[in-house]
Amino acid sequence: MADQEQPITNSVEEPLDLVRLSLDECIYVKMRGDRELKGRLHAYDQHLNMVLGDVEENITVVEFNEETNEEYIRKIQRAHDMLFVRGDGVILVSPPRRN
Amino acid sequence: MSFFGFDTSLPPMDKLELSKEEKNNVAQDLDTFGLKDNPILDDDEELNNETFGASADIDKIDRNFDFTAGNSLFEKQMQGQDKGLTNKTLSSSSSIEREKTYGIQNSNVKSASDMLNERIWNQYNTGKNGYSDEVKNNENINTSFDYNKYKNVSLSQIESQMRLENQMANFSPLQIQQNMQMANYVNSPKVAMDPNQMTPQQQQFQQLQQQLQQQQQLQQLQKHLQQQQQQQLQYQQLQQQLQQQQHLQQQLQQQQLQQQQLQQQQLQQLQQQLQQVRFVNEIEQHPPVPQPPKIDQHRVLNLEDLEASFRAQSLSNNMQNQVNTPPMPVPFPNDNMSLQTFLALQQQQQQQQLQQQQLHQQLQQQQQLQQQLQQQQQQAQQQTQPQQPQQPQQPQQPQQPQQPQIFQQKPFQQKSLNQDNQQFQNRMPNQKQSFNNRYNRQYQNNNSNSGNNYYYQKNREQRNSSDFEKKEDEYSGLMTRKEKELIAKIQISQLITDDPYSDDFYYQMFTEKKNNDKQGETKLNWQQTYLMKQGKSGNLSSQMQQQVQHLIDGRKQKPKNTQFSLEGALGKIALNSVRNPKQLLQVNKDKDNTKKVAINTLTQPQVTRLVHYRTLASIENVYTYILQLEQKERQKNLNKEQNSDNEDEHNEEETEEEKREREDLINKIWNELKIKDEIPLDKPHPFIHFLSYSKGKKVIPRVLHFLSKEQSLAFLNLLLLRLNRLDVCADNADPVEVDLFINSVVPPLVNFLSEMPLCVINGCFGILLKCYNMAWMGKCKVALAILTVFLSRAEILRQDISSEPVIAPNIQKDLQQWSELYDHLFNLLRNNFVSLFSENGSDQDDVCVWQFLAAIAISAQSIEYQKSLVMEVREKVFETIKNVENEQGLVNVNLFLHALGIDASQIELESSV
Repeated sequence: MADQEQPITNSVEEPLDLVRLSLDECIYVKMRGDRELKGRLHAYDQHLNMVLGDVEENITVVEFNEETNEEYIRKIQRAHDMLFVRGDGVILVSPPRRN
Repeated sequence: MSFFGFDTSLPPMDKLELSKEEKNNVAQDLDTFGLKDNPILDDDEELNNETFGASADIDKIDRNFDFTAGNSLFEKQMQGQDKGLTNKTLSSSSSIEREKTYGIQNSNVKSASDMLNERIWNQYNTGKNGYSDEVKNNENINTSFDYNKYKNVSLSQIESQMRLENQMANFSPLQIQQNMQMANYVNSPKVAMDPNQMTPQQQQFQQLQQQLQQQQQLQQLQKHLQQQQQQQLQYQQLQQQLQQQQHLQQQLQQQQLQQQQLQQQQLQQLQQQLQQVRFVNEIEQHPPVPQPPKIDQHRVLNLEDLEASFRAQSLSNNMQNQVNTPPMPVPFPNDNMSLQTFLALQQQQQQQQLQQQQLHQQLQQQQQLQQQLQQQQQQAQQQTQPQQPQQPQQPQQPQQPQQPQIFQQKPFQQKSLNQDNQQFQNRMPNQKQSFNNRYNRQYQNNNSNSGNNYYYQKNREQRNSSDFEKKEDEYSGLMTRKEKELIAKIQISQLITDDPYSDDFYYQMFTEKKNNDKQGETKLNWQQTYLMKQGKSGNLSSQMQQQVQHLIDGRKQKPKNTQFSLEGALGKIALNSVRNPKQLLQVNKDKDNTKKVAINTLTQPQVTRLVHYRTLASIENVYTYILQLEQKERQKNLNKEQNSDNEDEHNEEETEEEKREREDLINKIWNELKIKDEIPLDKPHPFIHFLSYSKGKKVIPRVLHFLSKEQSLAFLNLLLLRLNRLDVCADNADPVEVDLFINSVVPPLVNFLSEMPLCVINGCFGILLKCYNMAWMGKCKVALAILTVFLSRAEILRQDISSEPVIAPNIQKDLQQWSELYDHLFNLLRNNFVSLFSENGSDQDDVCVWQFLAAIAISAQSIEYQKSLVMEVREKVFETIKNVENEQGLVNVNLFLHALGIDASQIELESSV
């Protein structure tokens, strides 16, 4: 492996190194479009394209009813065995929330 | 009946006329040719009674008798019966008739045979292969034919010889071949053998040969007869042709008159147009004549370019020359003229050219015909003078020169003698075909009948071609070969990598895994395949990659800067490439300011976030080192294979530096693992924390591969010491993690232990027994697994040792120690074996227990142990076996039972009893 990709460091230097620490761990990803992912991080790159395994996706949909003038929130859940996430939709990556 | 394809039908001899002498002759003939005893039995009686050959009585044969009449091939061809010489065509009766017709010399009319003979005579006289009018005229045809010279040479012989020399081209290939075979046969040394020395077999052989020759001569005679018949037919046809051609000539003259009138009319029209056009041209500028494209000398021209240039040249040439047509100025195809008129003009030109060509051809043919007629007349006159005996030993008057003419006209005759232009139109496609070669296209364009229309010619091939293969791509030839190669090089160069594992790691792993799955025999885990470097690749694409890589390496030697700074230019100019994209930000790496405070005291066993991240960081570092190590390993193996032919010294020199790097990396890993950190037992050990993560577990086997024995032993010791602190040994252990641990950490330990002597195992075993109580260990799968490993390993070692004749004292000690340990263990477990099984455990959980029990059974040194073990476990065994559906349970039980030397099936019998 080239040194350019993974610098030999004993400490975290770049923010992306934190993502590196989360490899093979369950993470929580917040994405654009009111989506959230929870899954095991298998791979990532500098664009934050990610490969997640055993993913549980939550989509939050806000629907506005014109007649009754109320808006209600609906949550859609989806599951994926393996998922590739394009980096430009990612907002944040973090360890799973300790609920 | 045909013998060897020869036509055996011959003019019959009247049997009644055979005198006694003649009969004797026949008998003699039969004798000489050995046919008396073995006559060539033929349905044709004439054949059997035929007299021929050198021994025939010459005087008795009527020289005026045209012996070959009616049967020569020549005549047959004249009659159009040259195909399939069978008896059907010439029955005996008809041949007789022909005899009468043609046998007698007609002074005025030349018989076919006469013509043949003349030809042959001329042929032999002049010795020329071809026949031409001039030769014929110049020859002294009136030389008297020396009969005596050719007395003993039969017509058939000469004819056959000529045939062999391919001078009579109209014989079928089969006949020619047969003749050649016969000639070869005749010339073969066998024939020249001394008859006295020949064995009876050989004599028969020779007789057979002579028979064959006989038959050949017979066939040739028949052919001669046929030819003569044909000749006469042809002569008649020639006369008809003469008349027709006279008609033709008249028509031609009429046509010429018409054409001249046409041309005059056209002349007038065109002159008018020319005046108009010239007037217009004077006003406007002259449009440029399409020039041939400037040929760039530096560019490699291919054929398409050449053709295009030629075409344009011809275009300009055609517009300048107006040679073919009689003085008729063709206007320039410029824009001022309407397309319609232009096309009409062109069509007219085409027609005129067509007609002219037809005229030419007609004239030529007429001339030929006339010449032939003259020759025939001359020959007819000649033949009246000398007499021509018709015998088998006939004089061969060469008539060859005439024959090609006659046969040339033959195809002409057989077509419908339509005096229209159809004949000449039939010739046109022949011309076209000859010019269909693309290399002649330039000439084709210049001489084309279709005129000078570029558009017409541009799509002519497409329109005229019926064959799909002849169709040409409109866009072919736009790129030269070099350009194509350049594009291909560019595309492939982007695929080349110095290190495929760094640029395309996942794909490489994927393919390796797939290949291993396909092979399936040695189930290597992916780490091993990763290490196994792939040798020379056989794919085409990878070969191309190698080639292009060579090219790129050559170019890389030139110094190349990523930044190119010109003098006077502000800033640096970045040379972007695929691997070096445009740099948008300039980030300086500052020195690390963060200092970590070592937290040694951790009162709470709870893992803090810092510890969590620190452990993760160390795991990732270990991964980095491991990847580098494995890369080096692969590189080394690659070099090894490539340099397998070279000397070993060379290899060793190179790897010294690599060795240093390698050791450096291994040290780093070792330090990162912190195995050597001595921490009091009550405090958490970082290594144990390391192992609590799954990726930590996964990397262990890879690490162990590189660690030295001492390091591995230290690892093992630490593991054993801290076993109770392992996450997998806790009560709430995640079964997935447990399985992962057992599958990833334990096997390399097995490998490591296989190299260790018994004392090591004793030591490890001792540690285990000392530190932990059996009750806990029985519940901990991992502990059980490790115990199993020790037990089995020890047993193997023990057996090895005891098999040797001489046992060293220290090893004896080890054995003793081991047995003590075993006893200790067994005592601990006694009466508690059943408790090993967890209550709610599934079959998967029980596997470990059964394995452990099996190991104990194997290691049992006395039967007593085994007995007591079996006693205790008996119930459990039965329980499991009774549940027949439980396959896994059966397997588990068999594990144990096989160790005892029995099988589950045997026990069933017992239970029933």
